[in-house]
Amino acid sequence: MSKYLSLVCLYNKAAFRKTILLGATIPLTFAAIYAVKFRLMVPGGSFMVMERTLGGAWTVLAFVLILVLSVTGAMNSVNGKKALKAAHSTTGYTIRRLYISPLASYLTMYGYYLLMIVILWGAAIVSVLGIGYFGMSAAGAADTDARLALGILRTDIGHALLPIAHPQVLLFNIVSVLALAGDTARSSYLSWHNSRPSAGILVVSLAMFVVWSFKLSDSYLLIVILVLSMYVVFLVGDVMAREKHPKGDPFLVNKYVGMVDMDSTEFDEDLLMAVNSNSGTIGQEGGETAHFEDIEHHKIDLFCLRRRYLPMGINMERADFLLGACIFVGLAGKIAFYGSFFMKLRAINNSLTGVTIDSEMMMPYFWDLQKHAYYGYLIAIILVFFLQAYLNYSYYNKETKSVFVMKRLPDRKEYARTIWTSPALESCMIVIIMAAHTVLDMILYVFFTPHVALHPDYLINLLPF
Amino acid sequence: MIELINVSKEYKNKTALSNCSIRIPEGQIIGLFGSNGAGKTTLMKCIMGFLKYDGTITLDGEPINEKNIFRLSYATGDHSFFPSVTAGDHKAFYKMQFPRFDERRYDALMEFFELPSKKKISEFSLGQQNQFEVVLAISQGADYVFMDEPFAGNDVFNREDFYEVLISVLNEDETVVISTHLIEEIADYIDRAILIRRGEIIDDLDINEVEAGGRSLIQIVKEKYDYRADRIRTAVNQMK
Repeated sequence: MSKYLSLVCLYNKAAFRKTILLGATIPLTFAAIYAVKFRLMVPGGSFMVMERTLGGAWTVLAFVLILVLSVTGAMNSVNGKKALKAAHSTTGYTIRRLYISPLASYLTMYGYYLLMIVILWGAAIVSVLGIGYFGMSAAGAADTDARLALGILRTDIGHALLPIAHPQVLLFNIVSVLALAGDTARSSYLSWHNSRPSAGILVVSLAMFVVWSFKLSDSYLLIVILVLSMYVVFLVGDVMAREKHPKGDPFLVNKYVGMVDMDSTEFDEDLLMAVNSNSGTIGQEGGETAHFEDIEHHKIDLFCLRRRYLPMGINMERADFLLGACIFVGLAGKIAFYGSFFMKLRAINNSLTGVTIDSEMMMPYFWDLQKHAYYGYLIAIILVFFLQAYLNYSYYNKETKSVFVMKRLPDRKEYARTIWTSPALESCMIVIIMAAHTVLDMILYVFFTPHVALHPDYLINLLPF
Repeated sequence: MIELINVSKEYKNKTALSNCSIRIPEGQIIGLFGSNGAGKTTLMKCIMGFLKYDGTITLDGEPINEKNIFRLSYATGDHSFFPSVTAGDHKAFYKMQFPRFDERRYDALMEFFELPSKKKISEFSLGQQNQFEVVLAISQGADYVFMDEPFAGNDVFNREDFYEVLISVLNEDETVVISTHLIEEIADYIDRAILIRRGEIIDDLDINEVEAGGRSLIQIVKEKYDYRADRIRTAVNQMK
């Protein structure tokens, strides 16, 4: 038993303060949200005001974010890089010294994360209850009892935390917590083997956000539960499969595994000539020398530009994955549109075919259906911009020390350029995808809605301005 | 000439450099010596502009900026190359970025050290990585080459080779500043020794004068750092 505890303690030592800090953030965040909204909405506090303050998607979003940050904070501490403080050590070596098999280590960490999430969950319920007491007292209620204070659990966040009257959501909570802990433990496991950590945590947190904020109907909820359950099975199965069929010695894997050989891409002459107006000629071993005249013949290609402005030798696979994940977040956000559109469409079709009696059934205006549908893209644009910029910075300063070259280049802007340009280009790509997606939605809206159900002025209202 | 006037640097509560003033003219090989944490790396990083500092650092009377930074190069034991990129791609990158990149010197040194140009640098051995770091620094076409512990991990024959090549390959107006702990090994190749202790320049020695005085550099360094040989014997006796 003690060696399993040692495993957790040893790797958690480096970042336990961060975990505690994030744990304490839950009550503080809820209190801040309450204070801000209370101030905005009140005169004269009331139970209704208190109920509304902790309702809404942004409180749920705050909870999901804090939960994920807390768990990833702990994960940082167990991936071993900080804990061991030796550039070339891997956590795998330390696990070997503890004589615990990697699979047992994975399950230990799984249990540890489950426990941590349960504690954080408890902290969230207690803090909401605390706000309930405080709110009741502020509203002038005498002898506030726990039942009254728990009235706040009728809010969105309360519904998410303790869905007493909704067993499907309760089941979803259990499955999502299992998935969250499993994914985080798997990320640690992959880190021990010097592989890339999983980003599946984003998918789980997105599911949490969607289910809690939009209160999906039972059939949708069951689909989500089913998918997440399969994901949990995959997480454990994947680790077991890796243990049975390891790819070479996992502890000897090169630190830079997965990095793309830039030999044929980074110094693609055509590419560089198109974007590097400062360099007159560029030669590569065995390559021809290109000239300035070629510049004007090249078209602007966002993907090539992005590749040019990513730091030299950066892990392209990781950058592509980040971009892909962010695009997925954007696409997923559109569920809000498709949900309301298809529900409305079904109601209209039922009305037209005489299943229901509602002769006035009309399809809402296009932009009314798009409410909340762009949150995903908005989050994706912000996420890709800052995460890619951080990855670029981290590559120069932490993964390598190439910052010592970049900071003494005669072209002083190259360093900043290679940090900020690719995130900006990736944000532009997502904006373009968002625009194309909107056009597709418009086509869907116009061609799939029965003409009689469209407002006479629907075309005028099709454009946002 | 690089001139440092009253250069000081503080990290939070620790003084890393305190009023350092030195002149580094062209055409010298200078050894920068000091114990761990004495301030050697900080001094070099201040000159390269990686760190903010108090005081003045000039290159031929001008502040060091984007106009003259190409005249300085830097090799570090931490390795400033891009590990997942081949040596050939580094060459292309340096050619593109540094206007005076010396391709002939680069090719000759790569051949001398037998470094593969089509292999990722991360696949090089530690010794090869050190060599490659130094090859890049001295091929950049800089007038002043700063090397911070460049040979940590190289065997003694390798280092000897390197010193010999360095002496032969450098032009008369090129300056090399090497920070290292291998004082005895490097003593025969340097013109000048700068001693730094607890962030202060405690001596600036001309090697010819040291030799004329009939003493070795290592003896002087030990004196300056209050090195007590009997310390070990006392400690061992206590342990027994």
